Amino acid sequence: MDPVTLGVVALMGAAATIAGAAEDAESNIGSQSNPNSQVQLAPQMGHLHRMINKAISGEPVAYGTWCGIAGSIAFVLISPNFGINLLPIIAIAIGSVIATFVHSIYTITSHMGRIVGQSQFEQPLFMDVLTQSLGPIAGHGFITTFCIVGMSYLMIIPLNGTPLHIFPLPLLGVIWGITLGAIGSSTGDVHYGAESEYQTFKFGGGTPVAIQGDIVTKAPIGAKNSIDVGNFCTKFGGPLTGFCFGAVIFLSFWITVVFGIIGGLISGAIIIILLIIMNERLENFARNRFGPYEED
Amino acid sequence: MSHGPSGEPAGSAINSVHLLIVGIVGGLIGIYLTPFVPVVGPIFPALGAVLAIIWGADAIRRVASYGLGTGVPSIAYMVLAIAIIGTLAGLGIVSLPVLKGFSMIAPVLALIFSMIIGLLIAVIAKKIVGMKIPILERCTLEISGAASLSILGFSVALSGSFVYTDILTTVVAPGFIGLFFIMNTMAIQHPYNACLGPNEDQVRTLKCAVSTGFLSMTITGILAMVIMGLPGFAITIIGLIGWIISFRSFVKASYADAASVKWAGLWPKVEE
Repeated sequence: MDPVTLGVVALMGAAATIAGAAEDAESNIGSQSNPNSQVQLAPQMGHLHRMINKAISGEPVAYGTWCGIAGSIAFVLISPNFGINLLPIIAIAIGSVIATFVHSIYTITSHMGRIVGQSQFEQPLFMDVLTQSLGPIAGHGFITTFCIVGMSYLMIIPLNGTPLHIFPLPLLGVIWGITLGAIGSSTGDVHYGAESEYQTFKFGGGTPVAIQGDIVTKAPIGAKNSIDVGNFCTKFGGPLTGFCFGAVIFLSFWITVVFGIIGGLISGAIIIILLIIMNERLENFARNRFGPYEED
Repeated sequence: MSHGPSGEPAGSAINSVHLLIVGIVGGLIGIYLTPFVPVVGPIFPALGAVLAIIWGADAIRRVASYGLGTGVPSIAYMVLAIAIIGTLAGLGIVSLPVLKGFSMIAPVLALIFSMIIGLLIAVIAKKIVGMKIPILERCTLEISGAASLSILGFSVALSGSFVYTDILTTVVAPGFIGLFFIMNTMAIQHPYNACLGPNEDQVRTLKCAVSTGFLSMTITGILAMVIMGLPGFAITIIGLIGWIISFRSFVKASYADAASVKWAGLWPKVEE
């Protein structure tokens, strides 16, 4: 076991945790992914709203793109092959700024496109909703992209002669971006604010087709906006997504750094079995404690 | 106002066959011009890739109007993967000793290979998986071709030639192929995905497609600027100008077609 490598792995885990938390906050403010279809259906159900409709594919493709762009630009600025040799942290920041610009443009086109696509329901195109949400979306997007590309860069530094991963930076950016998007979509969406958008319905029943689009559009004062959903979700969804992605990154490298290749495979299998047992226990506990889901 | 076999719910003001011709001819001319034009040669394949993206976005629009829903990004994801395999196979096969002297047909082979794989997968999706979309084969074939030309266009813009070994060293080995895979997926699927709804309009969607195409060209230009210098700078500037014009026209079209545009206040009261 090499303490320097272990320290780098810990740093990667920390960067991944921050990236996960920021990604979840960003996608919730933009109602991307799962919440998006509810915001999309609301005007047809007679609920006009002041929410942002950021329909940029799913989170995996979107984050693969932002991290791929940032990783590629950072790569050409860092790599000695191209003669610029910029300090890595500055190069990653420049790449992330350009990726954030692209992210913001895609946000604008999807919000405007989707809202105008429903103009027959008299849904107004609120430009102030776009401008007030664009800052938080771009900010959290930058933090996420920076952390993912930074983490990918840590993987390709040759520590003691061998890097942790042999893929080039642009490809690692794309792959880890897709992974993060998938985790943000699966873990984060459970806490995303279906509760926030569906607070008039009983908790725990999911969102049956009959109530889709039947969302809450008013806040205690005035209209409910996308920042409210973001505030609601940062309590559980954000930290949990961060914890999940951080654990994935840290554990998947930690096992091989500490136990070697064969020992790493065995300990990885043990961790998976332990997680399955823990999940089973947790679900049984929750069902017994809060009652079984009723079938109607 | 509908021309040709376009998707039922999606009326089209621009004929899909015209877009197909513009995409294929523009894309291939751009790629073939590269070695013959000194210094600024790489601009043409990048412009060709933008045309291919517009064609692909229109094909996505036609197939997705049959109610693909969340499948809009998925079909683009799948097709871009097909295109990368087809494109690299098409470029690589001319380096076989049997095909010596046929290196000039490599881009056409790349296009044909991608379209054949696309067609095969569409047939499997329809006959074996049982998807009931009438124009699935034609559209998957078209999107595969568009994806192939967009990947090849940006790759040639970055490497300055369509020789297999050059593409391998400048695009595949440093991992830019991964960027093109995901960035072109986004550029091709985003326009329809972003604009869908009962009041979607083909011209507005294609304006969005032009803007995503030029945005991808700008990113390719930034990379090419560091790798090649002057040609990359030219790609970036042309990409930016094209993006500003198309983005402005998309915003104007959206303003014109919106129910109302507001900078403050609540929604109007409507009868439920």
